[in-house]
Amino acid sequence: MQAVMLRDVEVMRPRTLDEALRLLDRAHREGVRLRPMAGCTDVLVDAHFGKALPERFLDVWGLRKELGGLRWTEAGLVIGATCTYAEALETPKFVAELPALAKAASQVGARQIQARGTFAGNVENASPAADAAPMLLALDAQVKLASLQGVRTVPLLNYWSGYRQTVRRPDELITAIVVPAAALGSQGQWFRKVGTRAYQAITKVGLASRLQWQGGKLVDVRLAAISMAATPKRCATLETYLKGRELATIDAAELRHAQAVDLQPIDDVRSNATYRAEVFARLVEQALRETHLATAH
Amino acid sequence: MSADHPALDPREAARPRVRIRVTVNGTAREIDVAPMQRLLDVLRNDLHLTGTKEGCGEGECGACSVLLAGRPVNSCLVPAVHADGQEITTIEGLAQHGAMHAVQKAFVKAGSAQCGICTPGMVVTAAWLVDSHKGQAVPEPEIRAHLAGNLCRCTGYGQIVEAVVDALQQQATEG
Repeated sequence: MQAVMLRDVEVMRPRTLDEALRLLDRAHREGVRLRPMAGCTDVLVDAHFGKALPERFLDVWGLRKELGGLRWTEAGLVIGATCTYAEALETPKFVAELPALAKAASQVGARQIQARGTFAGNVENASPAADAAPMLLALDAQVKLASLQGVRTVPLLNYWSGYRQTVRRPDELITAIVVPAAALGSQGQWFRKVGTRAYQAITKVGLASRLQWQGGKLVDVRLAAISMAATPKRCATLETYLKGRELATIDAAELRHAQAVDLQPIDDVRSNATYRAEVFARLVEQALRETHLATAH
Repeated sequence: MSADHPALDPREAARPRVRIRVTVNGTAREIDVAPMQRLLDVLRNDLHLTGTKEGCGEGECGACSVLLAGRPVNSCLVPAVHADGQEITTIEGLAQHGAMHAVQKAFVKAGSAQCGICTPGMVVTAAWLVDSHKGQAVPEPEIRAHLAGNLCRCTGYGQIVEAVVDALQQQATEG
């Protein structure tokens, strides 16, 4: 049955970005769902579980000349839409400037998934348990979208509109994820996921963060929670509580109180709300200690 | 690729319609595939290379691992069209001129297989690890990280890691 289903699926294989955008535009006007695909590490899992597939796929894997690779520009690091985790991890400058994103990328599935999975796919898949996408959020990354109507850039902060939902219009294609120059090589990048195993595990709870200390005070705070809400989520209340503080003045109870305003985790197949809330608070404490220590000398 | 593809007749849809050119274990092949057909099925059903196993079918277990463009991938998660123009190495392609790969010899020596379902994928990934670290010492945690995408429910991994360490040493001494 599965083989029949996959055989019935139509795949559009454009040769240029322009052609891809025309196909998306036409499908949108005709009311046909055209789902972009690249490494297929999510698409073919959906197919395996018999989830309803769209009538047609738009295969952008063949556009790697236009959409692939990493490019350092004045604006920052441009991660092409078809750039895989493996490609990034094999680039020493990427690992040096974005150590926590590299750590997240190295923990997506295992080597086989990293050879095929893309940063852009991770963002568009919009899973609350994503690895790379929350770290991109903590780095103030932006999503570049193209359509026949033009190009627009959406901060990742505004990109996920709900559980597994994004603001990408059906006629738009992600062309790149941009990590701003200010984030490259910045202090206090920190990532940890907690799962059943080190690899091939989906996150029960995790923290992607950027914590910048100056003169013993926390001057800049970005905390992105993983598997704690319907989407990867920045923690506004917690960030406000922490900003300007010295490590010694951070109170564990106050921290947990602020966290509870931002995050109301749920019980599900992978974990439960109590465990998630407690472990998340401890991840924040660990991130604070470790990034503080790293700047102390 | 055609932007004007007609509405699909089910019988039409069941027929392969994209020709791909691949080099499988050193031999150039041309195969007609349906675009979303899995590389795993093309290898097993069209090319009769049944050494590659299907385990979970969802990228968790690694039993279907093959090398695509020099990297291990889960062939259950690769549409066959993405192999077009690429080199593929399956378990059948590791032995050269009748001589087993260093990893295969080491697996035999260490007794690294029990039920055997994970073994072809495990060996392919291990061979990639050994071949891409020629003459280098690879710490055990790094070996385990490289093999983390290949699950084995029998051995507990001890003899597998032992075999990889042995194969790395053999490669180093043979130059």
